[in-house]
Amino acid sequence: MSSSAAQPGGQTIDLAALSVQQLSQLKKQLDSELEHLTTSFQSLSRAQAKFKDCLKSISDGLTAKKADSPILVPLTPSLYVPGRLMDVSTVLVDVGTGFYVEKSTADAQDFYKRKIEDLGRNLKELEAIVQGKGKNLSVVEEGELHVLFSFDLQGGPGRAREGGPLELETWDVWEVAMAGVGARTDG
Amino acid sequence: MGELQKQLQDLSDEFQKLQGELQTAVDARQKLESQQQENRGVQKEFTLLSDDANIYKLVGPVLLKQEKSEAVMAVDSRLDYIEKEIKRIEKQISDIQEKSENKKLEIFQLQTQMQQQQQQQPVQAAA
Repeated sequence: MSSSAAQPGGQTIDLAALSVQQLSQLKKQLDSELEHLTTSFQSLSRAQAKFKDCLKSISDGLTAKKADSPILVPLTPSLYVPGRLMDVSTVLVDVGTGFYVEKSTADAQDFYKRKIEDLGRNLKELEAIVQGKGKNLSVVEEGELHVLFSFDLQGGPGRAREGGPLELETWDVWEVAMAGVGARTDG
Repeated sequence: MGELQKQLQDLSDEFQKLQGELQTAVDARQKLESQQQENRGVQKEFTLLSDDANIYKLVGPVLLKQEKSEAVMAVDSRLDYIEKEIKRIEKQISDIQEKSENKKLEIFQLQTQMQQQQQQQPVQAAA
């Protein structure tokens, strides 16, 4: 498991040289990697959407003609007090790690635009990685199937020794393999 | 036979424990990575600000005004700390990986040993 973990993208593994167990382990690992990357992708998208909201809020809510307009200030999510918009030219921007910087609206918009662009770039990179991983996963799945079939054609090496219900077991392998085929074509 | 089985059980327990430790270490490493990213972002943002920019720091529920130089210093030292922590955790991770690799080898050896014994005594196993 960790032997394949020590192989980051770029290196090739000869799938034919792996046993069924190793293949399924590799598949499991790829599955979890893919899941992790997908969650990261989602949270990045969410963050980007949040920044877009900020950008929209500045351009919609902080124009000169909105100055002095009455607003409701949320003290808690369900408690509001009336207020008046005094300053539409500067805003406080959360730049991360607890620091807030006073910026003009133009600078703040610039800041959010930059953030959105950065995230967009990251999202694109991540998308490429996710696709690559997905491809790897389907290759491994195919390899797994292949091994199962060849195992069956050879009459199940190592099984004859045990004696007993050999035929039945061979059939089990067939069934598993066929079920795998069905799942693959469905997908 | 039972002896070996028990040994195998113990080994795989230890292996599981190592895997758990590895997971915690990897999680810590990831957390540090994201903190480092965030701090780098702030650091970059500070370089774009003029020296008299108004910077506030969130302390509990209030925003305290801070000099830019002070804020820059705080972020720099935090980055230093994070970098050291990352090095420490990485060392920890490679240690654990080495250990679990050894454990895996031990388990494998024990398993082959058990298989050999099984093949040598087919009559007993069947009985």
